[in-house]
Amino acid sequence: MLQKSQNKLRVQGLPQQLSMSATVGPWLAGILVFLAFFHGNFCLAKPQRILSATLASDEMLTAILAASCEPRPCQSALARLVAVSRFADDQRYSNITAMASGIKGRFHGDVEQVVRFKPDLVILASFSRPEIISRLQSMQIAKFMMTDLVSIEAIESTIKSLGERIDEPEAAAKVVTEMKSSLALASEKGEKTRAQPSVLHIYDDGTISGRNTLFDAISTAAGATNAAHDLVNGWQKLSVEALLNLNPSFIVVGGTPNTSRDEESAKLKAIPGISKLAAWSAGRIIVIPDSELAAVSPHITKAVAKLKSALKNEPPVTEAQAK
Amino acid sequence: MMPHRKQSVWIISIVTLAVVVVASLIFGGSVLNWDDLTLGFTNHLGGAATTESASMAWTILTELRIPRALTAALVGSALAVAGVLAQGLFRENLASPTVLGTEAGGSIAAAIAFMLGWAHENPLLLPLAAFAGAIATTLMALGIAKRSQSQDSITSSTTHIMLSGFAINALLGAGTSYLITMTLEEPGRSGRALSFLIGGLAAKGYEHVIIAGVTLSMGLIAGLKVAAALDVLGLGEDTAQSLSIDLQRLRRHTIAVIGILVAGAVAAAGALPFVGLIVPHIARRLIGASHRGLVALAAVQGATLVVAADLAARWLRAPIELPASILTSALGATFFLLLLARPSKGGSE
Amino acid sequence: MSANRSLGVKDVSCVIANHRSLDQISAMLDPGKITALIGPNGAGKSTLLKVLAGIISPSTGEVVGRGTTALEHSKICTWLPPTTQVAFDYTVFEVVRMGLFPWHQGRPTRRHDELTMAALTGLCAHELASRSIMQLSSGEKQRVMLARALVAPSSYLLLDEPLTNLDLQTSYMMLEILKARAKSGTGIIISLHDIALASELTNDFVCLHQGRLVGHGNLHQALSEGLAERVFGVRASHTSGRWFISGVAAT
Repeated sequence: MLQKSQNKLRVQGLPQQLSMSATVGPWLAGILVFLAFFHGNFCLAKPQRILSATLASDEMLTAILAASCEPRPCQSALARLVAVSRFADDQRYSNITAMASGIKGRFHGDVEQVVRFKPDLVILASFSRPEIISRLQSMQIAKFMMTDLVSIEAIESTIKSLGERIDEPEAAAKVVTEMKSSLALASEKGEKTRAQPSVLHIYDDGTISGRNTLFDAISTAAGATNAAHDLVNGWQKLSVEALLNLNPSFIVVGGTPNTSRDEESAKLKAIPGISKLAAWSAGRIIVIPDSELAAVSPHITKAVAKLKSALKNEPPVTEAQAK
Repeated sequence: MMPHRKQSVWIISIVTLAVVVVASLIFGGSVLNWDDLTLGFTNHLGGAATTESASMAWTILTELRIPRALTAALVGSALAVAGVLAQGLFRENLASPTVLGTEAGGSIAAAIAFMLGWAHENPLLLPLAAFAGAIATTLMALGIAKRSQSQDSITSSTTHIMLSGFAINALLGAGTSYLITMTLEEPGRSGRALSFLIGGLAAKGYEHVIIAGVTLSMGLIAGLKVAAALDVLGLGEDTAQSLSIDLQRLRRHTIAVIGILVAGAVAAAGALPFVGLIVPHIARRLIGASHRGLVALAAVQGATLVVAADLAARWLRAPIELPASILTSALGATFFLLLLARPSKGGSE
Repeated sequence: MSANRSLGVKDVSCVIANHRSLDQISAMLDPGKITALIGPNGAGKSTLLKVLAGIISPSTGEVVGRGTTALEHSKICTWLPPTTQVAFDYTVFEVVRMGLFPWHQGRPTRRHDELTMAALTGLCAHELASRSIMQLSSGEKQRVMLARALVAPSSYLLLDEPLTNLDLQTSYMMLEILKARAKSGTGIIISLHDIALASELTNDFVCLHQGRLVGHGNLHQALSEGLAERVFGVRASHTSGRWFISGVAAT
């Protein structure tokens, strides 16, 4: 049939190539159009107007887009991100305050804003209210749902999925490779094995991080043990007795750019029982920026690196000292 | 005399509702431009080409603001009518529809359903869960009403129901606290599930309008039917009985109507405090205690309160949205205090 | 408004919360007759009236002449408690019209409104019509409640101490109204503490004491020798059809 139409067109005087495309072209276009309409979230072009509603996706997307840069200039790549979450500017939580200043839009959670930004892809938190999801569906706006991430592997795999979604798989792979290499740097092989130091992450109000938290993943990657790993799942406040029983070698607290180490340590004093911990009396307190400690993004490697170097610089703690 | 005053109350109430609804369509997080809207409208009717800002305004209006305003109005009506019925049934000025535990049951069911992750496959499951939870709690209240029928008991059956409502609320409150402690164990989902215990109108769509609309119509019709009997109940249970009121039947019917109204409201918008408590009082001060008129006026004024509260919630700290529940309490209580401060005219008009 | 049948109780006993409020009471009311129900506090007068009204079911015995349905019975007799706690701020007119609820079932017509105004006028309370019930004095409120009871075209009126809080004028006005009502065929049973006032109204007495019927008939028969002291605890004498109390009885 194709031959017949080709002959027809050739008879009318069109050169062969043109007539070929003239016959095949409409079919191809038809199939593509059909696919585009049939597969709701299918975008012919890569998403050019991305709205990121969570800090995690803000940081991941900026990393991926920056990695997609060469050889093009970065600004046009970043321009694909039309809005980021309002936390992106907050120094206490965000690792990308500088980059965020180059992004005009801020998303506050209002669905009307979604309409105004005219995104072709919205990145939502896993815990977004279902009404927002319904509205996006009824307005036929493509969405990508983030999931709760509490391990470095999960972060890496989400970066890859996100990369595929915005059609930058190579850039995403680059970001992941970079992460892996900086983590590898953090855990040097050939180092003489010694007892893994135990660390405990404590918040201002006395809550500590157990297993299935980012801190747990960070401490493992840094070659330490989370003192609360066996006892606690998630985040809990412990009784004074339980806290003392954990007896970590090091205490880790989250810091902000505006407070000094001493100020952070002083904040801990209010927690009942803290003063009885050996790590406290010995001053073995490590302060890592909160934005890195809680980073659900490539920036988590910075926390790992800082923890590792802080542990290395401390004199090795013997078993006797730790008791 | 009375009819004239009643008439003006009605006119003012309806006009206020209309004004507030229109305002909530135009104002909010951003102001919709009139020209944009008219252009978008003509374009929608198949007219000329449209500008980008016009089509954006039109989308915001039709996809977001209209269903939101409608949901707010319908939910406000339902809660206010339920409040009138609850106060009439328990012969208690301080009763609210939450006294049966229905609202708490719905909220917690939604929170749990969200925690279990049901919402992601089909977002409609959440309002359904809330509805089911609210109805289940109402059935519990009905069951208790049926049990405590003995006329030999010292406490009347109605007091029984109220007391068990307190108990149910306390129980569900304990459940809520448990959810809060669970949030620390299970990161992510649990914490956000708590947002379901706070009511709000964000991102509501036509599915919520339907839920609220259907339950409100059912409840309104049935509520008007029991209204006259509730009047007689106001003279005392014994007197009502002597005047042909079947107390058991009246209790069951009223509880069922309250249940349906609150279930629909919670399913559509979550728990909005104070509406069911305060609007009946405002309406009663303006139009008297006869329940039929009360039910109708409360429906109008409840709608006004919630739509106004939602507008304020969006507008006061734009672009941040406050929870509407804060505003329903603030606005409702303020208006009521103003009403109390007016010198009492007595019953004579 | 003439009734076709009598209303009464036959061998009725009533046990409420382990307390025997009524013990084997039999009494009949007849249309057009006024019966005064007397007895000290706790004698069971209110309970008897509630049984007649159908609000309480007797533990044993039966209510004679009761309607086949609750609705029918509520049309046959109208019950009025001593005090009414009105929960909400109804107008006087609304309250009185509720007395007609068995008939209008919440959909009153103009006829019901007219009957309501007539009842209020009959008790000289028509200027109270648009006042709020909660703002009336207790005397005014009692008048309204009486209107509520009288507005109903029932065959029987069961009135529990209806004259409390009434001033003298209203009390005597009530007596006239009740007499007129009885004359038109309504049967009335009225419980009173003031026996002198009761004897102005009727000569038919039923005396209760600790749940039992201790006397009935005219005053002399109902309160035979010594019964006054035993039952009421007062020294009384009965002279030329009038009842005089001369002090508290020695215990």
